[in-house]
Amino acid sequence: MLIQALLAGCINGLGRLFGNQMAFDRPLIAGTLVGLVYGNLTLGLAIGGTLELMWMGVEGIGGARPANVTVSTIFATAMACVLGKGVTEAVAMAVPVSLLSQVIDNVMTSANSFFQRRFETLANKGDIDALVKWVWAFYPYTFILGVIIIFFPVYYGTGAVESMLNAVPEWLMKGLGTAGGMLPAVGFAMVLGMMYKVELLPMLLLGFALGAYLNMPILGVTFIGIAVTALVFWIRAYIRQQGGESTNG
Amino acid sequence: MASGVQVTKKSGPKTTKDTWWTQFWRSQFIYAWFSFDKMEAMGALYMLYPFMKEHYKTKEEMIAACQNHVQFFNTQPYVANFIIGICIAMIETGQSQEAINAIKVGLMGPLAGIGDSLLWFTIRPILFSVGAGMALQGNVLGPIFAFAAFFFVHWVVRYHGERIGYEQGTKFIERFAESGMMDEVTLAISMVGITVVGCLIATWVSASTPLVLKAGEGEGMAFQPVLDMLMPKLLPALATFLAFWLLVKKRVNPMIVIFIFMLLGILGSVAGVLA
Repeated sequence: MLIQALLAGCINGLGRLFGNQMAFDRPLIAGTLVGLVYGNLTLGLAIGGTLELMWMGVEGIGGARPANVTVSTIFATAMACVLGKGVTEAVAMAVPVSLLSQVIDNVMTSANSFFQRRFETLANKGDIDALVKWVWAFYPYTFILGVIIIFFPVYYGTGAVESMLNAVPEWLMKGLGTAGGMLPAVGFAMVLGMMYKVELLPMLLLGFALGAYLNMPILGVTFIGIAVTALVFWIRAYIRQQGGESTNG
Repeated sequence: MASGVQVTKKSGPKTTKDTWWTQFWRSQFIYAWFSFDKMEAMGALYMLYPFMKEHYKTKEEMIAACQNHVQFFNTQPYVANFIIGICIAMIETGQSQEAINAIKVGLMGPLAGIGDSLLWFTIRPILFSVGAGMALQGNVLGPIFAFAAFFFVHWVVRYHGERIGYEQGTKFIERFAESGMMDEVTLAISMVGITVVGCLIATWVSASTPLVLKAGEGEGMAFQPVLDMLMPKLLPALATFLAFWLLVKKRVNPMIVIFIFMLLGILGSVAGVLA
């Protein structure tokens, strides 16, 4: 379990190396990798996929994030693998952990300012060699920090988490399962809110109808979406061209 | 938009290919240095450092450049390469630190807007929702597809963004904005994206009711089939509408909306209305 906890930590460290702005920090990738580490790929896929849909729209704009989805995904998936729990329990763990880990994340980001101060002082003094050394020191620092944050709770926290999960009454777990089924709606609504325009409503309807009435897989719906979009753009270009000609002639 | 900088590539010493690739590799880490006060400043300095080393021969020049680049910088991390590409051309043509900084500061806002809406809110949700959908069916190709496709897009944006910035300067982005191309591209991607979201709502939001209608004696009638006859996936659509209304119209914090939904699920389950 030691090795697995360390490897799970490394996944978070990897995400942090890229400033949590690459694919490694997304629940789908992190969850799958943790599942792989614990030898339970199926569970990793299920948890990663569920949390990805739930937190689809969560992204730091200008640096402010509402929740740390990476730490919580890794923690919840690792715990579910170790304790032999399912997706429902993982979602129940992930939501509170995402809030807590975001607080920790903010503290760590504030700590980055310490490095920033060092860099500025050195730049103003003109000590470029030392500046380069500090830059290199930052890598292992941020990676190890990411490992630690996962390693300790995962390695030492199993007992506490297990008793906590066992203390949850059955009606509450059942309710959380129901909630887990509805939670992707929040992620989709977030994405919708970012793209939403009244003109796009027909496309939303099209996608919904294809999914609800025909049970069409996502990739098929994507193809239809691309086809309709291309047609609309061609028709628009054609109308524009016609309009141009008629005013000219 | 920033004042137009015309880059004449032929003047000044050329950058070697090695330096170019070192710097492209370094660009992946631009966000690692993120701090609340100067944000991506260190990342930009880290990216530019190989070029500065190659082109600033005297110590004074180097120090002036370092002091310049520890200043505030923040944009969407993938489109940052475009700005850095312009900076590199400016370093090569020996332009002043003030001019370089003016370009960085002038472009970071507009480009962040483009990058956020296109990459964070459109392309990534599409790719990752397709991947997540496959993952939920137990298909390991889901995360692999999402990862590979997203990396491809991200590298294209980074590499060609930097190249275009380097070769064409601010001319490119000005032309891009003026021609209305940006709006067209965003609209096209949004149209495909929103179709996918529509399907996702129908596929992955699960809400149903175990309610049984009882009229006097007998077995009673399950309510869900009645709803399904009215419209399949009616409850998931309503749940999404509720979330949309809370998030967009009422501007409720996403985490609070998630808690509201958890509460709703628990209460609905206990009351026997939702399953």
